[in-house]
Amino acid sequence: MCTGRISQEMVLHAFERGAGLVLIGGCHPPGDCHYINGNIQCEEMIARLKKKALPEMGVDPERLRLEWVSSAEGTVFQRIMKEMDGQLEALKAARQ
Amino acid sequence: MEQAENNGNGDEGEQLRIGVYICHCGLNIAQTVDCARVCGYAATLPDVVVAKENMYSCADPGQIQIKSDIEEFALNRVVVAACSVKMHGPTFMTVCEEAGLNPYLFQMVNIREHCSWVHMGDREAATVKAMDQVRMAVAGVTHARALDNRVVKVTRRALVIGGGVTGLQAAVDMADAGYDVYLVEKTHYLGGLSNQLHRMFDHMEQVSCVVTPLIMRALNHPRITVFTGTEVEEVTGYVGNFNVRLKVRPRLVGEACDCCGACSEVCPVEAPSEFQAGMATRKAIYLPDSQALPNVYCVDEDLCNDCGRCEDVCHVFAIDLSDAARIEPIEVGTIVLAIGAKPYVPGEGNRWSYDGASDVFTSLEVERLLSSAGPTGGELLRRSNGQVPEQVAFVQCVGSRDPDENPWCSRICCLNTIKQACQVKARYPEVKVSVYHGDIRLYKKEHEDFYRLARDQGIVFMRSHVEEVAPRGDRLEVRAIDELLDGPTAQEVGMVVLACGLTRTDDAQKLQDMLKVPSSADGFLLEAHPKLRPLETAIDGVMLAGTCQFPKDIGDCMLQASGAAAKCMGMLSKDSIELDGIISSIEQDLCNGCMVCVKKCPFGAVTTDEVEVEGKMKKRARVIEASCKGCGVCVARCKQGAIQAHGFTDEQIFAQIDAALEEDPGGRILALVCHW
Repeated sequence: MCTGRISQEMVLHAFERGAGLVLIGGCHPPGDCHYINGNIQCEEMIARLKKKALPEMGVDPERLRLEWVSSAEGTVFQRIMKEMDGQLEALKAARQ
Repeated sequence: MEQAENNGNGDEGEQLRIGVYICHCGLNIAQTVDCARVCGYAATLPDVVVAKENMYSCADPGQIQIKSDIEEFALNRVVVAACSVKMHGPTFMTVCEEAGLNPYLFQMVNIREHCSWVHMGDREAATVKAMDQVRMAVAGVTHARALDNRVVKVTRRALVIGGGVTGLQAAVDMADAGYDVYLVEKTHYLGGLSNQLHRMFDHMEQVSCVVTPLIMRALNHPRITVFTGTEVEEVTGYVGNFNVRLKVRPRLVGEACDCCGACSEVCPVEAPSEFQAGMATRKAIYLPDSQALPNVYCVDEDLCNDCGRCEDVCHVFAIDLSDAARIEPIEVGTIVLAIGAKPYVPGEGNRWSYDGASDVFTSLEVERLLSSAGPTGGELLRRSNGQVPEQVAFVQCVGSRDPDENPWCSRICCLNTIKQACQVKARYPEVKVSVYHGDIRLYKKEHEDFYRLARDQGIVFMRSHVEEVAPRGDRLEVRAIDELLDGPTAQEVGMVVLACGLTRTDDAQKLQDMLKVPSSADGFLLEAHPKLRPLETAIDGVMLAGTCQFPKDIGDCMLQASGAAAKCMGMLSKDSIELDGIISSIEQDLCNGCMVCVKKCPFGAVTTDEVEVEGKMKKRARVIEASCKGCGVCVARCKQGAIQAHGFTDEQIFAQIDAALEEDPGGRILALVCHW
């Protein structure tokens, strides 16, 4: 499965179910995608979501994050996770 | 996709019986995750009838346990929580299959790399996360459906693209094993870049002594059809069944040619000789080198002015300037991409003052100078005055390991410089040789001895960053920062040699577009997996070999050539091959013919049928099963919900999302990531 498989509905469904944050992680464009351009197709989908569907649903588009991380970039993934953890804590604090 | 009719066929409405196996992986998982607790938790999940721990699920006792449980408990779904699906997914799919369970009714969840290894020291959190992961996997497998592998017939012939050492070796290996091979080379001569190399590190053998016999074997092999002057024009089809159109450019000189050279003498058109790295000229009708194979002259069509003088002087009447290009259609089962790489040449305004005219040379140019068949007959001569320099400075990593130019290490430059420096020292003991380098990178066991030998001969290695090479009178000044002295140095020399690495070839993109083979960000062609599938591309039946994947030396090219050949033969040895069942399929009754999937499919794997709908002919999309790679792009784009991604259906994914967010969703990050 490629990030290109991810549909808008999956992301919307996750937020409907109350997910704090959603991360979509794919392979570096332009060339790293094992399915040629699935990553770029995903990026287009994310851009549309952030522009329209998420604001309409009352979800801050910042809660959806797209990152390109290869399987050899453990430290990059770790950094992203730590940043998102901080973001989530701030989000929870703001809610209280 | 038809559903299997064996035990556990994944039919709707069946009574689910799920078995869950928690692997300790010795202590890899168990020292961080409380496996007993995860196992106890798994047993409480809906439809789980058995949950067990294994010390090593992948070992025989673990496998036997799963098999006997499938029979004893009539399991129709299996979850294994262990390591990466990339590593042992196939192991457990086979276990299921051997126990009569469709292998696609199995799901693996990675509680090692994704959990225990990244949460060491936090047993409680890791255990809770592992439980979450198992809950998600159980939810996912609940919706799994039995799938069949695809079976496609195989055309038992291979195509090798690229007639350098790599392609030659791959072709000879397959031909020796009894398979027919087409070997396609773009130029009119075989051997590729290696033809221009004089000696090989580290034993200093002459390259032609290795390459010439290999070329002769390919040319004389009854099972190899060699096409020189040929490019791949079009590739259609899929693994086992590629239809390829070759464009064969005419050589315009027939095999009767005895290389007398009279044609070349009368030819009025002159051009830089590619073989001599531009340091000599050739004619429009030429033989790049007296040893070039096939040993027949050729005509550079782009340069020839059709004056006809060569035809007039040819005493064997071998020349026919009217010959035209032809298209040759071939059918093959597998393809080896061995299109090589291109030596880097510093561009305009570079800080090393390289312009192809001064006494600054690239490593390839020096290779030609040191060759007896080179433009100077093997003498290391300065361009400016035709004299042997008193001092030569080699500069390493030119354009390499530079984030702004070529970020990668080309692996060959350090050894090539040591080789060339030793050659210079051997021929001209009085010449002072110094090497400005960053890291000296040596990969093989003999290389350290070679490096030591170079230092013993008085070649000076200076760990320095060269800031500039600039003309100073009739000499060149090398200004550098010496890392050991921690300060600037300056040295005047008569010749500077830039150790230039390798970059992608100009042809790579065209072939990539045709074959849909991905490349990495640096432009080199990408293997299916850097560790587990280094010889294959993401496209079934298309293998990679040599420097088109990344820079490597001749020895490593040969290794990979034989490896890629073996991979091809694995496919060609059978009348048919099995492909996995993870593909998309389209419910044509739901399709409205919008064709988004046809346009968006990265592999051209969606086609259209004309279908009669309410008396009218309408276009309906259909997946070409053998071409589909299962990426699921079409599914995400289909507004009609007409497409299913088998193995990754909406039901499976949504069930896992729900399971992940079952508790405290607001405190969680849900990640949807590519499985590569």
